[in-house]
Amino acid sequence: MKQKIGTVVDQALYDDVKVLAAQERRRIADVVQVALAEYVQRAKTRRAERVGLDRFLEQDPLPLTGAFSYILTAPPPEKP
Amino acid sequence: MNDLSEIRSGSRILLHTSILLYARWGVSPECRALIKRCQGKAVQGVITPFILADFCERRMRQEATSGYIPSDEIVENRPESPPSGPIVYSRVAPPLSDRPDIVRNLTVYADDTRALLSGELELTSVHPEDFLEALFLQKMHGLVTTDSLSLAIARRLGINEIAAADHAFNAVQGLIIYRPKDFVPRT
Repeated sequence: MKQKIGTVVDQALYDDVKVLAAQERRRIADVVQVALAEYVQRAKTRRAERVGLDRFLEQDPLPLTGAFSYILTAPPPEKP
Repeated sequence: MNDLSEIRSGSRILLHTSILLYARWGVSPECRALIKRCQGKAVQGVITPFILADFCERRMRQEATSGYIPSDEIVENRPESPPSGPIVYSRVAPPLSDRPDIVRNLTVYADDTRALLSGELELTSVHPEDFLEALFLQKMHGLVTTDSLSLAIARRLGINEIAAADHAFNAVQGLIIYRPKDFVPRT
């Protein structure tokens, strides 16, 4: 679902965006969407780096299904 | 074979992918305790770019097969006998290189990999001569590519202690291998 937003930006910046978007044959809305997605992704990246190895001490959100649960039903046998 | 808890404080030790996975999966308190000791710098945990890539790839596949890839595209390929080590995949999913649409939506594996890059573990560099040494180690000990490369790097750095949950390095002389013995299946 798309959300309509309205905002105010610097005139010179908007002029540059319009020119570049036209050169790349992209819509302004697409440019804004990519920029917002990158902003969110970078913020999440910084958070993960800040958390560091603490993340390894938290509960794993991924299920151990299929092969993983099969492998993990018994300890690996000792080799002679 | 030594227990993970026997690793002395101040040690500089190579952490095999299996240790990172066991800790992340939450199936071995000993592996988690080792990660905690690395975090507190009581132990200097070392990883190579190959271990990092191996971890990244395995977690990416795990995340992709836990909901993103339709179940009818996954082929169950269970071995007839029990696997010889813990890190064996018996579920064959279509190559992820064919599915950029899926990879783009995965997030957990990436955050896990970033966590390993937070600076709490030592990430080694790779030198061209490591590959020559790895080829020798493959021939000598029957090691697979990533394990032989990591061992070649460890040797160059003077590291002779390795923490691993599988048996890959058993045949290598002169190594001190630590292994978790507290495997707890996750429910």
